[in-house]
Amino acid sequence: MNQQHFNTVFIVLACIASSLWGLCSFLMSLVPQAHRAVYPRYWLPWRRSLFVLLAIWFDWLFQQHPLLQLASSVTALALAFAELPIAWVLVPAGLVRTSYYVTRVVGHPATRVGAQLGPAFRASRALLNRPSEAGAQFISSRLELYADLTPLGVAASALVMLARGEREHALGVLRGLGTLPYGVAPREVMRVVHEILALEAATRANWHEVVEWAELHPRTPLTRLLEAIALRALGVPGAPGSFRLWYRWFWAPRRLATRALVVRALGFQRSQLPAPLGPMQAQLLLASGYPSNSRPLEVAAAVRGLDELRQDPEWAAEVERRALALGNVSAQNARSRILESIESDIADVLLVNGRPCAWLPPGPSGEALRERVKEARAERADRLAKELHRRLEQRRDLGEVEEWICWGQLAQACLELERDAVTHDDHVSLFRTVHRPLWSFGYRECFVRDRRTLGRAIFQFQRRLCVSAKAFDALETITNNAAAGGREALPNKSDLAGEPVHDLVRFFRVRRWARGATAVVFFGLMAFGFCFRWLWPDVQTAITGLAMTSALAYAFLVPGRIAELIETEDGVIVQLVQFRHVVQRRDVSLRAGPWGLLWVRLQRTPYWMPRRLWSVQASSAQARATAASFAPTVSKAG
Amino acid sequence: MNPRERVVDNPFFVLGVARDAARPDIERAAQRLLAELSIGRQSALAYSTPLGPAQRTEDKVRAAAAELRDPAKRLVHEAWATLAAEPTPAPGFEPISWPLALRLIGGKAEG
Repeated sequence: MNQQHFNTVFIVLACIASSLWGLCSFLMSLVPQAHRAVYPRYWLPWRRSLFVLLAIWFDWLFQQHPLLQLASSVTALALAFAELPIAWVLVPAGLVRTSYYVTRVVGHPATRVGAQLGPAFRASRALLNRPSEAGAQFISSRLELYADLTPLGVAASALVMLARGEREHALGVLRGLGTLPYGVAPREVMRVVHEILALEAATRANWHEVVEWAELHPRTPLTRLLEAIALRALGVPGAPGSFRLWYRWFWAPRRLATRALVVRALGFQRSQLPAPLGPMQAQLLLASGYPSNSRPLEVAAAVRGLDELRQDPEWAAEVERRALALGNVSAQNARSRILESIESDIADVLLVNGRPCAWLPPGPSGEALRERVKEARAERADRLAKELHRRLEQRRDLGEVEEWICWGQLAQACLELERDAVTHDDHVSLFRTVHRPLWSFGYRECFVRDRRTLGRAIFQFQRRLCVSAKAFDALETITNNAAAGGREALPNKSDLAGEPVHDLVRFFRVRRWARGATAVVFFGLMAFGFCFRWLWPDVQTAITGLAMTSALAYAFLVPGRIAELIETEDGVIVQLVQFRHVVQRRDVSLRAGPWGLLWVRLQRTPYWMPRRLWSVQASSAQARATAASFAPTVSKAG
Repeated sequence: MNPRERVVDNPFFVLGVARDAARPDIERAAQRLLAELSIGRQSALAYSTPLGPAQRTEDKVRAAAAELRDPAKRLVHEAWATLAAEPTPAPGFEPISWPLALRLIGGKAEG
């Protein structure tokens, strides 16, 4: 095959790929829902095939220069299958910008072409390896462009916080993400979330929680290793033996760092409590492990010790004697205060570690502690729910990451209560406490602010609580909400509430005409381009045909960028052919153009929403007036 | 006050007096410690507790003396001051440190 033939084959293949891309765009635009956001993966094989073609072309083109041939082909292949070099080289080396730009070029499996959230997520993982404020700023500036960050963006924000040392905030966000059901967020995100949350539980020696996180899918080598270590630490029968532990260690990352941990786990023998253990000595043992190394065994011993102390006549007599010696002191009050301080300490251990308390030993102290811890948790959940409800009533919205932190805190409080819910009344009480705030929160996030991922997570969590409480009258609506939140955009409804800022009839007329015209011209010229290729088989003509095809493919997308704007009290509704999005006035920038055109620039939009749009007014004067009415709140990024 | 602080900051341990010490003895011990701390005497800077040595400060000494002036509060503190012996070390599996956790997810410990 000579060079001309090779070029011909290559360009024809590229034309076919381009045509397929255009056809896909056309078919997707016919679908009333935003399926290109739901099923975006068809972009990735297209890009991959392009890079493979490039590799083949380079291989043939530089036959005379072996070094150039090798370098160019390897580069093209590395870009075609870039996950490996990104995961093994760029991210561990902490190359934030390189990880970002390489992922942008080669595409991310979870986002469509041009989206910056997937690249930002990988860059944030690189940032964790080499934290720097410049890198954090770089990622944050990319994330600020999006209103709906999606799990990728939210996780990237959490990793940036972690790199900045804002541990509690980052964990709050990750706990919120941890409530997402399987399949909602990309696997890559959930792997990181589960790993970090399992590790965080391991830093509190809450091995039960480690096992809970490790059992969730998708599992990773690191969570498998942590699970094995946790089972050894708990001394559970059937905990992994040395072979299985070393096997999991072998597959886990950072073997040098985890080796000592594995050796320690293998040498660990679950010891019994020293006997005999006096009541106060049990409290001391509990205090010695505070806050993170108090085992359930010690907590149970402390509870039993408290029971013994309540019924110990010798101890009561001793307190009586000392009260008399000290003068005007009530021994009864002193005993109550001592018992209260012990009870408060045990409750503190349970609350700080987020441990369930349903397993506490029976007896008056166990019952009292159960009630006390349950009340404290219910109070916290109630406080968070009320705060949320108050904020929603006042329409005081926070940034998306802050909303995820709020959600993470409330979800954590609910989960802790749910673990201790033994009776049906417990479930009903929990559901009643959080149902209304959750409903308002989920509705506002999902349908008003268009944050589908967060809204969906809230509705699905609410559905779970609803089923546990057997509140079947509310179940159908919650299920419908969850299903609606699963869609990426609302159907193209015409009943928009608000005041339109341009002529609706004209908008639809223009859009339909433009779509029909571009479809005809686009496919006509596609065929024309191929005819050119066969009639005049030279490279320049074919490249011209390719360029025309691409330009027309872009032109085909233009009608999809004409928007109708409607002002409501919740913000400005931006209605496109398929999408509807509510933005705040400060995030809309308008500029009047000729013939009544309005140039619309949006800030902080969802990733599936175009940012540069057009709108059509009845006249140029009206366009100028509308642009002027938005002028005081125009953002800098116009 | 958390469980650890309740033991470590117990006024009897802070002042280094027996739990049946008389009030004048407690006041004298507090005065002596304040004087020693003011001149930075090494032996006064730390005190032993059932949970290991802790650092003594002037504020701690003043607070401890004030607590023991109230007989009702003193009686409660006496209950905790019975824990004179070093406890058996916690037999649980030591938790993973946060820097190690951060390293395992590919990060570095914050400064």
